[in-house]
Amino acid sequence: MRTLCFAVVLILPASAFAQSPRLELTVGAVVDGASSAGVTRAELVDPAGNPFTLFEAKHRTTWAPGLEGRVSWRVTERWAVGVTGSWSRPDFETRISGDVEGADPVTAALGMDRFAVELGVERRFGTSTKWQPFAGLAAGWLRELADDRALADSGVAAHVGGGLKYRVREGRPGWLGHIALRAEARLTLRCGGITLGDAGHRWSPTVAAALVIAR
Amino acid sequence: MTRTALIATTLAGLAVFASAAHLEAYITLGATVGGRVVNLRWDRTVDYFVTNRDIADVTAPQLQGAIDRAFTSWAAVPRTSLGHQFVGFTGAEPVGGDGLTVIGFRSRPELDRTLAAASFEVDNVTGRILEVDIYFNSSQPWSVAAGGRAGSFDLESVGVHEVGHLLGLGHSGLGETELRADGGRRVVAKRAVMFPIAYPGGNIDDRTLEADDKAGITELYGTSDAIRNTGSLSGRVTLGGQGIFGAHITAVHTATGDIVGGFSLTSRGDFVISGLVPGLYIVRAEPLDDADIGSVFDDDAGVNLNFAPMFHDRLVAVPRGGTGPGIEIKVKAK
Ligand SMILES: [Zn+2]
Repeated sequence: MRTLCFAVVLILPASAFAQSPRLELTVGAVVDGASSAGVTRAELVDPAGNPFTLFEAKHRTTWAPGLEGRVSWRVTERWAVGVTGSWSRPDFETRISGDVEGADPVTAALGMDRFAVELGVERRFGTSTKWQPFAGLAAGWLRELADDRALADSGVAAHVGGGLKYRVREGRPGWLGHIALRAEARLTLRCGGITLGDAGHRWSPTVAAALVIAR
Repeated sequence: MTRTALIATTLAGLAVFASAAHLEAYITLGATVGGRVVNLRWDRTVDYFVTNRDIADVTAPQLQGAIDRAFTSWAAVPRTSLGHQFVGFTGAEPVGGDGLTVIGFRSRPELDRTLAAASFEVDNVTGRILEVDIYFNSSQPWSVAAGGRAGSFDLESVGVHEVGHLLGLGHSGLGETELRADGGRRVVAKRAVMFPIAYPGGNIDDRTLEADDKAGITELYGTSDAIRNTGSLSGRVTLGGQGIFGAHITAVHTATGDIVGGFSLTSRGDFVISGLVPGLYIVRAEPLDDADIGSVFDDDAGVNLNFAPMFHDRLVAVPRGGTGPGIEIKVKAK
């Protein structure tokens, strides 16, 4: 009797597997939101040992469009693991003001390329409808490269988020037998990379839209 | 071998006099040898003597202790290579002509704004340093108290500044001052031991080197490791397309707030600031109006003061082991 129950447990996922593709490729666009990057105060020291501020600079990275690709592997009917690679082009942007000698305030910027490779897991819900919600988290390597290639630094990127996948076509053979559209919203955390200001890490919202093919 | 005394620098409590050679980099001391400018830099361990004479409140061994700590502060800058050795006490005065590097007190009551001075003797064929003498003006009140003493200048703090000169550094422009009624200047605030005007008596902050000082000594004595791990930025300061000579440029590291300064040192307005920690920098140009021009340049150097302070309109990336892109800071007339 126990042996029979065990057999049922094994058979059910196998049955579902026959309906859902195991390997997914996703290609799409991403928009990274702006994030605050802290403050720098240029300070001298007065004879009493107190700071004497020359000027203040507030930093952020700007919102930016980018591209993203993802390969995921369905481990069970509801869980998948995947690797995501992304690229975007935000600017470092610094608002400098309060100069002690009256220099005009200025916003100084510098473009950069931002790359990330993240390893993550995804939980899928409601497998029986055309609309499939999902949620996931991922973390990995971050690389930021300032314009003119003068400066590059690495760090860690991580995100948590969720979205919806709309199945356009399914159940047919080959890569084009399963096609879906995918929309996702995330909260992204970046630590390291090229640092600005006194913020050790940067939070930003991210939205992504992509085309999914699977087999 | 012909000897020539080329450089004298002084540190004053109220005002200063000094001179520095013009090089396309951090202000370091230099000498013109055979028509070319040569950095004044020790190519060997600095063997120094201390004049065996006590003054009120400071004994000769206490002076030697303060000087040793001053040398140690400079030698402790990471990725630099410089050595010092106390040879012994001597009856010799800290004046030139004897081939000895001597540090001691001299009574100079006529120099009521001068705390100390360093003077060089250099081989005028090779540019090699022959000797450097430092005197501390015993007409000023001095202290070697661990926490400083109100009303007295801290010998170690002033010693760090003078040893900076001995090693080849000129003056920094990283300070704000205000004019006094007697024509001297008072420090409002500063961020470099090598700023030409001292903190008032009782203050001991100049025992500790700042980022600007470290960048300067790294430029002179940096090891190959320093060259690989620090970077530089360069560019021009211009007004209506014409170069500005003598503009003070500051580079502020956006992540740390550390400030390193330099000067435009050609008629084209060229400047280089090196020994920088890699990162993104805010760059600002201003006229040299917080110190007497003569404390940084020769008085007749044609330093341009007729422009308003200005930020460069882009952040500047300083790479590890290289130089960022050349920039142009376009200033406006006052
Ligand atoms: Zn000096």
